[in-house]
Amino acid sequence: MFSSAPARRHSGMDFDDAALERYREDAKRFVDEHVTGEVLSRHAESGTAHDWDLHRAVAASGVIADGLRTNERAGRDPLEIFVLFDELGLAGAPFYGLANTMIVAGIIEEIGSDFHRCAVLPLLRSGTAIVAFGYSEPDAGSDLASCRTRATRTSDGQWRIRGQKMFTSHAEASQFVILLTRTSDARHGGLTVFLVPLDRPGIEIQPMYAMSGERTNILFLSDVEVDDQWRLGEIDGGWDVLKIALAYERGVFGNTNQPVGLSQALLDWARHARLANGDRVLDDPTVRVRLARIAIDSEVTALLGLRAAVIATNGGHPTIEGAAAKLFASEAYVRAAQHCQDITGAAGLLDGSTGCAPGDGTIEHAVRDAPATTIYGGTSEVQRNLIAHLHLGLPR
Amino acid sequence: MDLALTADELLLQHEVRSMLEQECGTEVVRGAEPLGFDRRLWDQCSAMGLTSVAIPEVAGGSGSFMDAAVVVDESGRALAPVPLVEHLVTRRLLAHVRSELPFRAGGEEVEPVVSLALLPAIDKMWPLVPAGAVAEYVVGQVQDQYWLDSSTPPPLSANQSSSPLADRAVAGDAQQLDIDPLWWDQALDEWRALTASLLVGLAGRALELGVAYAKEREQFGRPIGAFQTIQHLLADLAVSVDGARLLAGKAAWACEHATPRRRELSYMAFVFAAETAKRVTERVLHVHGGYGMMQEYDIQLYYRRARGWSLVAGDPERQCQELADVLFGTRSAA
Repeated sequence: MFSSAPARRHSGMDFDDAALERYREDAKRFVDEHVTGEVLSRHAESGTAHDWDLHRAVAASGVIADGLRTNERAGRDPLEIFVLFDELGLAGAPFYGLANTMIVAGIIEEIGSDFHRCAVLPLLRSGTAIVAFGYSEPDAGSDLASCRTRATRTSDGQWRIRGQKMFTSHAEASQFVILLTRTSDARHGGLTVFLVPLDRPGIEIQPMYAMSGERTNILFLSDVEVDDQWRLGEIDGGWDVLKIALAYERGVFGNTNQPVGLSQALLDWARHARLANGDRVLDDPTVRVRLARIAIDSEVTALLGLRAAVIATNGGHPTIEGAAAKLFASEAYVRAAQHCQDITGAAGLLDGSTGCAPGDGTIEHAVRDAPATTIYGGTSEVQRNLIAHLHLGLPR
Repeated sequence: MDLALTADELLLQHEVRSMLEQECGTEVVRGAEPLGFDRRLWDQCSAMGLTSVAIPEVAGGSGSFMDAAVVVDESGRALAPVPLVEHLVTRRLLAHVRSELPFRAGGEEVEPVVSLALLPAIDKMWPLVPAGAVAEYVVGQVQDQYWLDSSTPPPLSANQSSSPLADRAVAGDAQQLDIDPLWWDQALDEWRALTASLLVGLAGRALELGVAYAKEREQFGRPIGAFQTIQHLLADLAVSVDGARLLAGKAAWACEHATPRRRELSYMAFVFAAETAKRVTERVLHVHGGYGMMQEYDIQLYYRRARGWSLVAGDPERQCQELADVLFGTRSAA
């Protein structure tokens, strides 16, 4: 026998998900109780991916206050948080305000000043304030380093911020916004991050609506004045702050597995719906093969997401693994949404309000929702760049 | 829960990889063509205990099913011309009926090769049995019975993947075995799970070949790996290989612990690993340009085996259909 192996060793690489299933049971119970019909219909009407009732319930459970456990601090098992977001995603809950707020709480813990810890963190932890992200600009999407929103130091030591931000989702419900600004000319080394109260004079929020019905915003910043204490991280050190934020975002929060709910909705429909020749849709071999492939993709999505969360649980930074999970999950969601709609035929085009849309319109909605997931949080192309450079070591 | 290999598994992986790097370079793989079997390597695997991993102790083996997954991942990586997957799965199956066997399974000086016919016999002939051209013993189905054939292996059916495939007649002196159909189905699940790991090993190494070539080959005055179209292609393949390896690991775990999801996970792992291996090898062949088609380059060895090792189970679309039967129930009678 090979020398390293005593006769019967414990079976290694561990897929035992008993602990995970306990988290899942708790998360499901929470979601059942708090992601109510009212929450979902408020979201559908406003398009705002944040709901205060739901948010306060999450805060009351202690999840925001505890935050993520890391090597440096106590807190919740990242796996628990991962499962909670997974379940919120499955239920179609508006959780972006929550996710972004937890990311910012993490950043403040890591690099925030005493002022941030006293003036902002308690509001975030208690569920009374949330944060929107002002990274993107009209001419700065994937290329965030081309940011042109300018922060200028005034004679009295304050900062004056002038520019325009794009896709600042749920700003209309938020108390704070994270702003990426330019403070000097160096491309990556001339950026500075501020955490700014949204009630400052000079800030105007203008809504934009996505084809999914989600509301996002343009943020106009006309000489917004803030004290230096609102700066987050070093002057010209904004790129480092951004890296921390993006690692949080892709590692644990927001990697949801939407095709699981989607294919369940389709399956429920296909068990009863009939083809023109009278056959049950679910008996059509081409339907079965497509559904089987979606099931495989969902399993892979879950495992890639779990791998990133497990790394976080063990105190690591899942930069590459988070990128892989985000890339695969979002691309698989687009494929699944299109397959499910194709299978339902023209009925798959019907609006949920008609009362005769397959899956009550969830399938139709997914086709409008999925493409955004391959863009926000870093496009698929940005993730591929990251994997190619950091993981495969390909030259820049 | 920890999805990374344990220290023990890493050590096992290291030992097997070291042995195969030393004993099974691609010159050995080429030398074993067209048969696709190297007796010397087989005996070395046997001496190292690799032919009895995950076999119950009473049948002369040791180690877990997860160990077997680690071992065949490495053998896929090296394209080792030894039918470890079929052998291990069949040995596990035969452990149920040890007392009926004409040979003493385990403990032999030289391990006999055993294999299984994935498809039932047609007119007492098992079609294109994996390792059928080299296996001293083959187990398979004849209608609803199970038979052990120990006739002299027939000549190779020369094939694209240089695998020891052969039609195998169920000889007159074949022995009927008292095998529960559930054991047989379990063996097929295990075959899918371990073949998934084998194909993941193959795909992972093929990707490494592609990455290395892209860093070294220059066109337009720079390494082709500096072009985004090549980078994105390879990045997508890397994610698929990672996903396939996780899924194969989960399927092996389900086999080890006989969980209720064993069947669906083994199908999923097999289908995803097969598609990944075929796609990775085809794309990396493409990245090599014209050189990829040349026999001197290793990638063509991987390309041909990715197809052959997965196709012995039949049309991949049929595997998806069978997965659908597990997931959604069989089709209702029209």
